[in-house]
Amino acid sequence: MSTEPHEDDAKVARPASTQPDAAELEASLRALPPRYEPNALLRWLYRRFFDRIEVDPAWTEMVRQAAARGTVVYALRNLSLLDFLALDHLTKRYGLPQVRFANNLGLWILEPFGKGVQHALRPRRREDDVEDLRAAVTRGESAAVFLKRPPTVLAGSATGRGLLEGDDFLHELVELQRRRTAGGDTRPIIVVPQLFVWTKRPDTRQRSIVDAVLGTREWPGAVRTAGQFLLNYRDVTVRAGEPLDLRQFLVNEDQEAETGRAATDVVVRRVVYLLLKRLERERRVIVGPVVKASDRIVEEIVRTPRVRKVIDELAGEGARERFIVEARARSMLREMAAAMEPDVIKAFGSLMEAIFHRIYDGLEIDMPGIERVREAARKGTVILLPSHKSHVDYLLVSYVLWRNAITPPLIAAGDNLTFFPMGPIFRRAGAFFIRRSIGTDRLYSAVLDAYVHKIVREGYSIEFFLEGGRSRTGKLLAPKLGLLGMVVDAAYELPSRTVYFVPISIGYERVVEAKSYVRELSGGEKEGESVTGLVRALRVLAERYGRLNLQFGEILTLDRIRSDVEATATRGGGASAFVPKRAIVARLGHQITYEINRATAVTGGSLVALSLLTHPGRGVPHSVLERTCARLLATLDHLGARVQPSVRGEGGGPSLRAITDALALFVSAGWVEVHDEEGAVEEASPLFRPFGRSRKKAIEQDDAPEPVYVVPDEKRLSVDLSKNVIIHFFVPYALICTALLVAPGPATRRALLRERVQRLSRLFKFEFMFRADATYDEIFDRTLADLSAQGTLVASAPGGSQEGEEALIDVAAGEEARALVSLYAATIASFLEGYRVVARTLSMLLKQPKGVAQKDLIKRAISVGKRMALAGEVTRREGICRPVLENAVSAFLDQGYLAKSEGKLVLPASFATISAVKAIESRVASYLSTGAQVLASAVPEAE
Amino acid sequence: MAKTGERALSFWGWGWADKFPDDDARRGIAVQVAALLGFDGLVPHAPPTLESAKVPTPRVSVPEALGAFCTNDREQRIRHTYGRSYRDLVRGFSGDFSPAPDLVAHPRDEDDVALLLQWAAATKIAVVPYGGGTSVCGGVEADFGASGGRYHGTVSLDMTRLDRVLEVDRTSRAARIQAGAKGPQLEAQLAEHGLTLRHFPQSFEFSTLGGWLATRAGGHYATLYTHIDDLVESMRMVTPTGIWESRRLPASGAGPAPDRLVLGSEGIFGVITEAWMRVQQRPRYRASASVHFGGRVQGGANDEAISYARAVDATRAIAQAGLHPTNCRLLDAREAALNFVTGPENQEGSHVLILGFESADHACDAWIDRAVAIAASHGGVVPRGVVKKDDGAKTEGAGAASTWKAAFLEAPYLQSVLVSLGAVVDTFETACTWDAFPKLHAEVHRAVTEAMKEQCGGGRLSCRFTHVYPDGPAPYYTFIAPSRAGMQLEHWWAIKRAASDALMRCGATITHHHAVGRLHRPWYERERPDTFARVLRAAKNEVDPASIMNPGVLIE
Repeated sequence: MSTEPHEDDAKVARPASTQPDAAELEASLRALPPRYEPNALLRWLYRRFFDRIEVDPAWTEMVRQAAARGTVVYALRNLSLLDFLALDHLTKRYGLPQVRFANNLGLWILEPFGKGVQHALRPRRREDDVEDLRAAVTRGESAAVFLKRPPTVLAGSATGRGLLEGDDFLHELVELQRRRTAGGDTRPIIVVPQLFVWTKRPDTRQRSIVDAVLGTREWPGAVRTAGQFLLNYRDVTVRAGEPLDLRQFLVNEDQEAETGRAATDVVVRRVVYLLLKRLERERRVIVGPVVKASDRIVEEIVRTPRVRKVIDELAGEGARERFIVEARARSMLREMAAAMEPDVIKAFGSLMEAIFHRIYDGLEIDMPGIERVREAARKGTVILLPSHKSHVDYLLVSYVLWRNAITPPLIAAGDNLTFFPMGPIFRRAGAFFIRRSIGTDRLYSAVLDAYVHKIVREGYSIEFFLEGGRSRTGKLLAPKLGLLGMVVDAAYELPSRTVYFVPISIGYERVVEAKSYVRELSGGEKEGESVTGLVRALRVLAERYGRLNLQFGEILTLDRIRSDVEATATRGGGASAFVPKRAIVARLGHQITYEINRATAVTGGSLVALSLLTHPGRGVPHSVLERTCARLLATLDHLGARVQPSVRGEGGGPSLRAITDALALFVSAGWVEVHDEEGAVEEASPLFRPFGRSRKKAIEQDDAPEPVYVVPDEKRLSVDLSKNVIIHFFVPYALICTALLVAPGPATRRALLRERVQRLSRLFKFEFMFRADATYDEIFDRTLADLSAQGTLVASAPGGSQEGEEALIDVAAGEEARALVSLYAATIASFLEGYRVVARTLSMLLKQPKGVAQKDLIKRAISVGKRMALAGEVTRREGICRPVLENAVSAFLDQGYLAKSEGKLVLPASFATISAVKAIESRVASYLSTGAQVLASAVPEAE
Repeated sequence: MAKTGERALSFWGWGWADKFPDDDARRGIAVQVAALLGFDGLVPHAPPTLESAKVPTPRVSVPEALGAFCTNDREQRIRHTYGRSYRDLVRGFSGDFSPAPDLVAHPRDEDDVALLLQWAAATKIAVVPYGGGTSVCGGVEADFGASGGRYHGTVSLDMTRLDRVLEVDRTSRAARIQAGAKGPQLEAQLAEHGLTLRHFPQSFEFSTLGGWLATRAGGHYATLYTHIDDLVESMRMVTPTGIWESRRLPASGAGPAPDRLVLGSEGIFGVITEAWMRVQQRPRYRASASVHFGGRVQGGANDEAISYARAVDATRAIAQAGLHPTNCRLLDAREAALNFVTGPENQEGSHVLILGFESADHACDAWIDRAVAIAASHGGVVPRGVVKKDDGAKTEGAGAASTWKAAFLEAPYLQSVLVSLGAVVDTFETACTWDAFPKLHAEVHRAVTEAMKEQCGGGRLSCRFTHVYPDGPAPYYTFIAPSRAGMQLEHWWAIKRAASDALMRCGATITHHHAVGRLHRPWYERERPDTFARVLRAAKNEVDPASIMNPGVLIE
């Protein structure tokens, strides 16, 4: 033992007041173990590889903070030279506390002539190591402790579990911490669970020969580690688990212990357990659950009591029938089950990267949201519920999670996507396939249910689309609760596990499928998915689709929903009753939808689309467009909507860049025509910039006529898809403003307004999703108050009170308020027009007393709508759109204007006259007439 | 199973493995063929071995309940991979067995068949019924093209364990025979009763009754009972949704005949398990003759064409005379040479019409005499005279006729040998009216010769009539062209396509008795009425809703 003091000794800050005890004294006298100093060649090698490791800034920040508070000790799971070398390199590179001690590494192999050799020549005992650790930590230096040693052939390999290695060292750390605390030293020892994931391949239950020779992935041998590293070093993930403050931990332990002082052995065991658990959680977030062979999964599912029961019932007595029914169940499972392969995900990742860069101008991801998902994945099982507007959604979420070192989910897909060869590829990327219609096949529903239970139980993240299919209109569809119910069921059966429901909004400025959607919306049929369709879709690659964004809503848990539902139930005066599961599922579904809507980010495209379509005239002059965008954005800000960062300009309003980018996108798609000063249409080109350098200058100097933008009638539906993405933000305002503008116009008594708005909301109950967690009156009052607070509406009462139901609600004074009211009302005008078209079409039923199939009525409505548009009775073509018309039919059925008889639509007796049918139309039309007039007067002429 | 007694079948080529000649013998054949056809460059390539064959690992494991009669044994799967078309021989010879089925089933009884079909329907496993595996049009191959992704696996359903004659009704002269019985087996069992089916296709030794029925095989009789259709009384078929059995009737006028839908259905509805067949007494009286036409008797450039036209006229006259010869096969000069039926005493390059009559009841002298007289009136000569036989005595020395019979059964072996020598050699057959024949013959000749010249630099096309009808012949063409390893399939396909297109252009059928399978489907689709295609699809959908039965055959 060298007695020469090490140069670093001087730096050790010791509180002067404390008296070191004997052991500590000895430790401080003992030479610090040497730092690991690789020779030049090794240094080069390490730099070559370890510098490629992508380091998460959150990690360095966290370690730095811990170091500022106390002494950092890194806890790693399995004894691994590679882990140590990487840790050593990274701590040096990022200036983090450096490792002065690591247990049982046999480092001298790497440096036969270095300082380490001195250690090596002398047989080392465990006590030496402990003393070295004590020496390092006592002087405030950092250390690395490996908690487990790999199983050897002689001991422990049968269980595949490692041997505990770190107990002695943690024992020492606990002792040191106790001494520190006793000595009045407040600096804690902070143990940071440190994790390197060299391969994102999940573990498997099957052991191969490779595993036997090289060690399993979980317990890689030296060769396997090196191999994994060389294959994956670009892709290595460095993460730290939640740090453990030993001082605080001891305080808590002591409080709980009956004697007031917890036994050290017990504490050590708990610390090790806790660290291993945190490490394991962190690892599972990245690599996902242990993968079982698919045959085994199938067998386990077929043997579940639920499936067994159905098989027994269907098969009856015969062994032969049972064999056939079981074979059917297995076959269903094979068609259903995902077979995720990390290599495919990785390949998809690269492909997606290439495609995204080609067709999209950027991918904006809600990073705090990602961290919330990671936290949820650490604690439990994650169910990802994105909005669904495009087939691109399928891959996007997986890709984003994979990029952020969170294990990608299994994705529920419709079995229309199983076509060859994409089916097998999607399956390997994690898709599982569900029949579009389950029908009455009991075996199938039992098998599906069991499969969902199984994957939840195994701990996979699951992604599915609550809407059940792609929304063709841009609005969220009403949630389909079947699959959600199965997941909730599974969650109920795992009380020890928290299941987190993550609402995700995926926003597009221009949807890839817009063209086929428009065809479907205006009456065409959906085409099946096929290889030829896919090849045709390659044309997509030649165009641009603006920016993509991914937003995470508030993560929900079942507990929260349950207490919410109970709260709502008791608010009505009822006692806290048992809440049926069905109610929970329905509420959860609606809450997720609501959260997705809330999380939806405002994009330049949606803002411009809304501005273009709410404009009453044919063309929108540039300055008017800009002003409308600014108004809308201000309202959205007021509502607390998330806004894509790129949309925001310097002054907080919309940036000119965002508006022109969106316009360029629409122009290149042929959705918007630009008319220049002479009124001629400019050449549509993807390079369109409304502000070429010269023109921009001209406009700024106010000496040139500005361009006018026109959406051709037949393209309004395409633009509408982008508009509808944010329409839900405006719906509550729009309902009130529309009701307010009904002839003879404002001012209107609050009670009357309340009634009108309620009628209107009921009419639109299939069109828009309303909040489920408040009553109609509450929402009405809140929204009205909001509009008044904004200064858009004012309430005045004859008696002076502004609160009562007799108070008169009016548009506030001034141009701005009038403009806003008209603008809000205009956001839903196209829907009213669509409903009006259906009302007109109802007259066809007068001639058909036996009724008409809904399909035929819609078909007729589309042609009636086209004629009304030609006659100028309908000015917003986007209202003549299949889902809107269908919703209108549902609403009319709900209102009693229509009835169903033998599956066909008929007029009920009370409406079966021409005048009654006309009355229906005029009711709907009454919401439209004055609105347009007020609006027209509110829009200033373009200068 | 694949072995009959001690004698092993070739796993890639035609028939018995021991009949495949060794290298020296093949070199000899190469020389002989080269001399006969006028091209050389044929080199014997080493035949493949079972060990070297490339087979994918099975995707399906054997379910316990089917373990008693199902296997995924590698050799079994190799043996059930292909039929025996030219394409199959070339792929087999190269050791490529990638379309091998995942399982091979050898059901022991009809129950086994039904269970297997139910299991397959439940688990989306395609079932390819397999009799003797002698299909020359891709009828037993598990290659489903684009729809292959729909299936989780394939099972080859080998029917050869069901090989018994179950019942004989002497009064009506009919026998109930299981579908897996091969020609010699069923003939041997019928012989115990002094009966015979008398259906001798070229594949007689190896093909099964079920296969004959499912593909509407053409047999021994050159006229009258040309197809197996004419010999069947009733059939029993297992479909995935139940049993299909028709009534035993000599004839019926009650609507469309159910048997007509089963005959030639090529396994798309189900598996034929047994049938009542019309059998006969063994013939006692026979008469045969070989009539030679033309050759170089007159000299001049068009001799061969003129004499062939005369031979065709003679054949038509005999076919229309109501004599119903058992054998009435016209071999053109090249075909005759290839089958070695030209004797030294005969003029080189003459066309040969082989005539034969047989009866268990009466001597056929009058019929053969009349037939020969008709032939003679068209310029035919009978160098070896007419041979007339009565009972037991072996029909030896019947001149070309017996040589023909031997050559007939040997021909497929020769094809295998030629494949191993790197040649393109295949046959195709059709039927057309007498009226259309001259144009068809010229068109086929032109198309095939051109294709062979373009692909292989030359080759030989020969023709014979396998069957004749009062209104038209069934010409059967053989083409041989030199090729080289690796290019064989490409060359062959170009020639095959040219030939098939020519058939369609001339209004002939794509097949007279080889069946449609997967190979002929593109042309079959042009031949059949579209409405009928819809009917066929609907019928299949009804009995096989999971669409597991031999997918890709006949319809998509």
